[in-house]
Amino acid sequence: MVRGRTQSHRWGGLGDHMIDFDVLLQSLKLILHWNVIAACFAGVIWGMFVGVTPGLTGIMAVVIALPLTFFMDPQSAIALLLGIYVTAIYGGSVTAIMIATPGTPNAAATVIDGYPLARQGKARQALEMALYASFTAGILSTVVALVIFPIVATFALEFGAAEVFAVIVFAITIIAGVSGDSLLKGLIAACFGFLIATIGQDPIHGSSRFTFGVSDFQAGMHILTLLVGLFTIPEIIVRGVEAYKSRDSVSVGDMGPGISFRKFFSFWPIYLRSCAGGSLLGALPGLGGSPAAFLGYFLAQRFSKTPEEFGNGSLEGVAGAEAGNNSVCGPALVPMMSLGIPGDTTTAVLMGALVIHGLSPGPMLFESSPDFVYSVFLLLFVALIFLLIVGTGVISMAKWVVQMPTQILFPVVLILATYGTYAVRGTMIDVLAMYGVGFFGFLMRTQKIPAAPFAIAFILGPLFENELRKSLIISSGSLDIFVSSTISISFLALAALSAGASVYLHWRLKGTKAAKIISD
Amino acid sequence: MAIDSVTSELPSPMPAVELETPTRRGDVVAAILCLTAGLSGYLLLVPAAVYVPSKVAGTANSPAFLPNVLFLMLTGLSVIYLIQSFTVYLRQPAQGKARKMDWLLAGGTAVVCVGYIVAIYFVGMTLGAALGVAAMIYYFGERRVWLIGVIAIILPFLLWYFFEKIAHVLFPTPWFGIMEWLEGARNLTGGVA
Repeated sequence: MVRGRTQSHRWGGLGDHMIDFDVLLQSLKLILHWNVIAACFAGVIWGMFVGVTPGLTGIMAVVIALPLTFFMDPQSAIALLLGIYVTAIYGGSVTAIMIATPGTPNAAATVIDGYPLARQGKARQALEMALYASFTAGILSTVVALVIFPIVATFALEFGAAEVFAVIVFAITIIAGVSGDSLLKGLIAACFGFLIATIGQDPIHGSSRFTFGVSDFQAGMHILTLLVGLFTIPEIIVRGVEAYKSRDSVSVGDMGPGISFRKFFSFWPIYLRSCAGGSLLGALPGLGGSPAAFLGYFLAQRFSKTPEEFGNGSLEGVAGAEAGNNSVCGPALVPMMSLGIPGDTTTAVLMGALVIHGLSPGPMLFESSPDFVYSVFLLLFVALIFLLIVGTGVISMAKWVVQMPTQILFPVVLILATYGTYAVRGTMIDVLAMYGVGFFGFLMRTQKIPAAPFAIAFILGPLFENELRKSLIISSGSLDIFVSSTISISFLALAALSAGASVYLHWRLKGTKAAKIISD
Repeated sequence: MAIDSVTSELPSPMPAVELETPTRRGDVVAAILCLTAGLSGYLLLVPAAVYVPSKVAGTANSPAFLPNVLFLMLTGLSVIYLIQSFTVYLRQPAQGKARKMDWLLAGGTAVVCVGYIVAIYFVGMTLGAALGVAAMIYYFGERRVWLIGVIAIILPFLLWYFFEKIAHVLFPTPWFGIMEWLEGARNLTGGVA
């Protein structure tokens, strides 16, 4: 490894933030070994398997594989873990599209449009869109991370609690966009989502809320428990009624034709916007892929010429969500590598793996092993290429799912959902909660109270409360903290604009053909 | 009446599921339920189930602050929802009639789900899954017993093997530990059984 190469990688002026191509070449030599490539490929396969299995999350996949890395060299170890990390995010969208069950929480936004597309016989289009958007955004965000990661890291340091709070407030305005024809029902659903998120220990004082003395409730409801219950159980109930009434073998739909290169390329502004949003959220510690997916979805809808199609099977929606969640990968490594701050739980485990191999992430890592730092980003490219290959194979296998009769498919999905929910934390309370949320979600569905705002509020609720209260503690209760920096003012202004635009759009659409399409 | 647009776009002939069409009466009932939830949450649930340290009581930093705001928001939104839906209901009280059968069928699915959960407690995850998947497939209209049997045997076995033997997920101990008994029998017979 190249050690102590130059002083030009300190986080000083902008002029210092340049790629050193000699080091990049050294890094390339480090990863061009069969064992490193094979480890990356194995990681991609394992990540895909875990991603498509409801209940097994990316973090679990990385943790299960971690002991294997003890016997590997650092490059192979990180190659294996990065392969898993990148692929598990995409893998979750396969089940989200095919059976309305997000394999991982990152795929929650993909269900909204992916599953309706599958029901319309456009499963192949949705799956291919998800794969290509994931790949494109992954590549773009890794380039961003590689080229400007010292700048991003420095910029991310500017984000205190108030700034993160402002970003979350901006992200929460997505709720208006996914409320369908009734903003009122969307807001009611969001209230319920927020409230469910408050169950468990209070994030600041640690006091119990709505636990009723049950110790299993202390940790609150797991995100996957809620998502599987909210999206899968209502679907099983409705398709069960449908199957019973048809008294014949019916299947989910048809794979349909694939997506043309022209169509894929026509969505380039979506990839860029989602990549920008996802990269920013990825670089901010603690936010993760789910908010980025919803932000990507929101941006796609906001700039779409056909916003009324969102929620009813819009390829743009799938592209936005998938580009959003996959843009997190590269930038999430930035605070970890440059500052020693993990961007999310999975990167925390990756950081642990580096420490095990004697590498200490932080500013000194670039000083001591710049070639290793670059090799990590180069491995992301390799993992993404493998993702494209393996993902294409998975899409061709997905036809088995669509051809399976509903009478058999959905009972099998029910069992998988139950096992998956139990496996997350190993407690039956989660299974009971999953069914409880599922029955509640079904009742919501009968009155067209949308599930997406519920899910978004649940995901963003804890972050919202945490950052709000941290800010208030810092400012001793003064609200001035939220307007004390340009960043937070900008995001709050954007949030106000976005909320205003959504209300205006709802008001303008009322009674029009577009509103009827959404309503139907 | 607008009927499940997603199913109506399917290439194969699908029976409409009337449950997915909101009714005016249903909206009124939903609004009343939301209003009840909002009021009871604010007045009863938060005081009873949220522990508030005295030094932060009544401030925005109180653990009860956000739940209180949310319950109040829910109450306000529900009042608007109630007024809106009740006005529409008074204007057009007619309802669709095909829903009763669908509700019964949906209720049946819920009963099978509850039965499956109860079975997990009695006989464990694996046998519970076998019973649950068989009951659900039968309820959904599949009548080929051999097919139901094959799925009910293979699926739980694969899941048991993956989760317990590979992922090392500890399943809950059932009240009638049949799988444990089988494992014990295997050990007794030196792995033959």
